[in-house]
Amino acid sequence: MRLDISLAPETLFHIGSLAISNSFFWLIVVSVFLLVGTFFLNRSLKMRPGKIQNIVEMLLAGAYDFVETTVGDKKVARRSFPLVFTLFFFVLFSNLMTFIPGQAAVTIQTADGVVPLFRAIIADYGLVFMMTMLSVLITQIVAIYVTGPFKYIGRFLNFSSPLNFFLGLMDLIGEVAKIMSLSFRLFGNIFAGEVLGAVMLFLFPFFLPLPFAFLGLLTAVVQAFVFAVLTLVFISMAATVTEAEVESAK
Amino acid sequence: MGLIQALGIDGRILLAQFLNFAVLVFVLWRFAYKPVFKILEERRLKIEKGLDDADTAAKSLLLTEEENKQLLIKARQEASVIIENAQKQADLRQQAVVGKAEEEIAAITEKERAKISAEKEAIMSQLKNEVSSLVLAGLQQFLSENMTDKRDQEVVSKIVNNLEK
Repeated sequence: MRLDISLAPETLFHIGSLAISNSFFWLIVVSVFLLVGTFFLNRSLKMRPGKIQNIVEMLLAGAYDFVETTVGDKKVARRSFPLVFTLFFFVLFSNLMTFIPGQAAVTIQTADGVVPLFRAIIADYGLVFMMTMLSVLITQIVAIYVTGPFKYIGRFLNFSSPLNFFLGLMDLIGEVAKIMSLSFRLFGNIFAGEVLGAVMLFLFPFFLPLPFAFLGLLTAVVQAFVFAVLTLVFISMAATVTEAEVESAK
Repeated sequence: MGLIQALGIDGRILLAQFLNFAVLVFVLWRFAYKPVFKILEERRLKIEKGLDDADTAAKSLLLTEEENKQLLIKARQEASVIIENAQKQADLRQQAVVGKAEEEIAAITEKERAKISAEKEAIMSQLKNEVSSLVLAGLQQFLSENMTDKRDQEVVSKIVNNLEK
């Protein structure tokens, strides 16, 4: 018996020259599931809520309150809520999907060999990278929108003094580092959880994986939360003009 | 490049993932968050309105009760005034009636008394006349038949004796 651990998601099949990986396949499945769920939720919304609507309302209202208190600005909160909450909910849902038992046992024979059918959606660096880029790019767009394009460039290329120039360069590096830290934090946690689970299952499949499953559950919730909240904080930081900028504008 | 390959990053897949996520954000926002927030807001407004209505109703109820109370008090006062007036009027009328009746009774009594006394006098005078004429007639007859000298003497002495007693 052999334990295969692959950093990249395994290819299930090809559409033309496009390799469809197991992560991508499940991403589509989960997305369709969520879309259909949304459709049914939308159809069943009532003034007097049922149990499911109650839960959804509680979740959304609580999340919105949280976003509003974190951002502090109603307009920014309203604009950023759809993206931030979808990030949170999608990541959380995808993570929780991996706790449906039996997934590790299902493999499928492909052209490249035997490949597991299931893989955590978030354990695909491409997807996490895409979401991180989305979050960082939107942060930059908000910053440009709020401060104006010249001020925005002036943030990073400041020639007023050697110190300011250095600090501007640091800010630029910081923005790039954001992409790295944000994406690898989420990917690393989920991927590590997957690997750990697989290893424990491989070593001794009875009871031993349980504590790690609990740890993974905690990670699933916390990392989804952290990713969304960091995005929210970046956006709200970009949306508020800093004191130094107010000073320089005078 | 080795890292990108090791991580399994493919530009087309990235694009597909991005589109997928964009659709997810849009659909969830448009068909889940928005209607849910709308319904939450509607319900909030409805509850607010309901509470306001309840407040108004309670206030108007209180007002009505107060009005009723005032009305009752007023009605009672009016009723007592009316009763008092009626009592007074009744008393006055009674007094008037009683006084009038007494006066009438007095007048009637007086009249009757005067009438009775007048009749009595008339009867008495008539009686006197008749008696005196009867006595005279009787006396004349008696005198003409029985009077002798001796007898006259006796009667005169008797009368004188009677007068002396």
